[in-house]
Amino acid sequence: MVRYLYERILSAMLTMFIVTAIIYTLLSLVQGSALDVMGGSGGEMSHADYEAIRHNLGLDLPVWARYGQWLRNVLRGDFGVSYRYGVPVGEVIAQRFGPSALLIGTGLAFAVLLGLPIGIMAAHRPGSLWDRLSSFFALAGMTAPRFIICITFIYFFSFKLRLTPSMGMHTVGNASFGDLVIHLILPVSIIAFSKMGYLIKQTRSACLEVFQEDYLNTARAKGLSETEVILKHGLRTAVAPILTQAMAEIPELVGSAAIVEKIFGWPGIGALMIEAIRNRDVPLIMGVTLVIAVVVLLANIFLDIAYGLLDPRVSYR
Amino acid sequence: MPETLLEVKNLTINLKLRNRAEVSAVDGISFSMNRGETLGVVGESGCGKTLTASAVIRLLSPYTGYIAGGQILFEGEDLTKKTARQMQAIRGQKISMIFQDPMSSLNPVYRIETQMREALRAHRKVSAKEAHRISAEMLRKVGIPLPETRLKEYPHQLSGGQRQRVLIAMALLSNPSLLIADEPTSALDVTIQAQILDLIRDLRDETGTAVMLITHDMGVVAENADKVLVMYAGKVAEYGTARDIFTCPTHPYTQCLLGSIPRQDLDVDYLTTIEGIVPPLEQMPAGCRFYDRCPLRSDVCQEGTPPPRRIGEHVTFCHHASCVLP
Repeated sequence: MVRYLYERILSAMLTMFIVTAIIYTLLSLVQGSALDVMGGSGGEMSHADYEAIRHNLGLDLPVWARYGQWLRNVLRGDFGVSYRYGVPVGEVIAQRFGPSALLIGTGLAFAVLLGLPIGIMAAHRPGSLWDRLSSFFALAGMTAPRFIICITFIYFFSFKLRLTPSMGMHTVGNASFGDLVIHLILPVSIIAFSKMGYLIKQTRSACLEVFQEDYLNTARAKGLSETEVILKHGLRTAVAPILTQAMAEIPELVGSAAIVEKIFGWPGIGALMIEAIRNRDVPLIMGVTLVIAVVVLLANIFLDIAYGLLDPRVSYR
Repeated sequence: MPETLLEVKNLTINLKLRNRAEVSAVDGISFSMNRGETLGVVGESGCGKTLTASAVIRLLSPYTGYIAGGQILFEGEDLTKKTARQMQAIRGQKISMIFQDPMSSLNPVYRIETQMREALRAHRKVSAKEAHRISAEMLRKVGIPLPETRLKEYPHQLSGGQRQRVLIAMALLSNPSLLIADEPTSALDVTIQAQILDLIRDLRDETGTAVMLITHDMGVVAENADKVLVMYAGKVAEYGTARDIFTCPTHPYTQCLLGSIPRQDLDVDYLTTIEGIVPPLEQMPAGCRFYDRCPLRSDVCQEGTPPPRRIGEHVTFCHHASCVLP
């Protein structure tokens, strides 16, 4: 087990190296640098100044040299300074990490809490009205483009019904918990709604498979109640595949949360990423990339361990 | 006078089809079992053996079928009238069931001990320690070596034969008066089959648990059953003591079945075969359901279901019933 973990972490680090190298190279291919975005060569900056700043930032070096420099600094714990904000990348990200974790975590939690029971009930009575309704609901959540859901929700709940604010994390000058919750409602329900679709589908299909297993009949023949049979024997075995799928959604979730964050002006990491890309803020983009990659890889390692705990047939060798 | 344990009267099980129509997959069958007796239920796949057994323990899936009529009198009480909660108390306690495929009949994520303890605790309060002791003893009884070690293992660590033994042990924990064994050996290889059947027979003799043994193997029936119920397409073809059925089979279907078994004591060039296949339930002949395939068919067979012909306990549903030794 320890050896397995060790190997997993090593391979995760290799993955990180490859991911960052690819992204760094791709970034160098993007037209325009941070300088062009900020001042532009034809703007107020003189050509000499432009070249001087370019040299200072190291932008005149070839890609591989810049990447090597970046990697060396990162290994020393230095993520560089954001071109745009002029403060260390670590600080910028630290500020934005919390709100994102809060938004994505709450959204995913609601998706699981609602999606699991809906999926289980659908699988328990396949073809029933409940099954068909939940299937329609799931399909709507899965297929509707996120920005359209965002705009629809804002139109009805914020604009028409005036129930919830449509922007930001706090009302200015009000840092209370209640205010935070009110601001959370819309973005969280959008994330929960779109993720719940996948979860309902996955739970339903995992349960449909497990519910046909012979050992459920053995459990019934023992004299257990139907609830015990479904929860202790059915769901318990279905949980491993459902968990795998839910975890596999995390990378996608980070991406889709970016859209929600941007639309709702939520000060999260996804919105930060979009801004950083627009500003060609290479150190910040790389920092965010690294954080997202670490989160995804950690989630995968955690998932593998959880899988082994949930299913005794899995062994780590 | 042996005491009647189970009496099934006119049991009819309907299946729901896609187009909302219904067919009777089991149609008005009757039979009875005494305490401590083994009843062999034989017939081809799809003849309603498993449905009948599932109906007795009331485990018919509500989406596929339901009991449309008849009575199931178990220890004098009609099981068709029991509520779900009442049936829960009967299942595992008075009536147990083991299934065809031992590989998939144990939950892969729980230890053997957990699954056996659960079966015990469904019916009485026992401490974990006491449950462990009872389970280990039961495993020893079904011939599992090192029961203490096995209890701590997961199903995938046991062989198919051992798993079936565990399932039998689990089914007998509360000393039920009826054990339903639905093709308990079909998924096992031949040497293990004999061992499992011997085990079931020994346990029956020891505990007095009656056994409803479902199989399509006439040889298994001959060796184990006291009574035999031959089913064809959801109806009883012939029902009687094993002695009657094997020495004097009167239904042509039974005769064909027996004739299709290779025998060492007879010198025949060809084994009997039964022409054709069982017709789909929606297209059953109006009269005798065996009509299309019967070597003895005549016009009278098309006029309604053949009436029962009885000699003592031996019943045959055939116009042409006559004892023909194979």
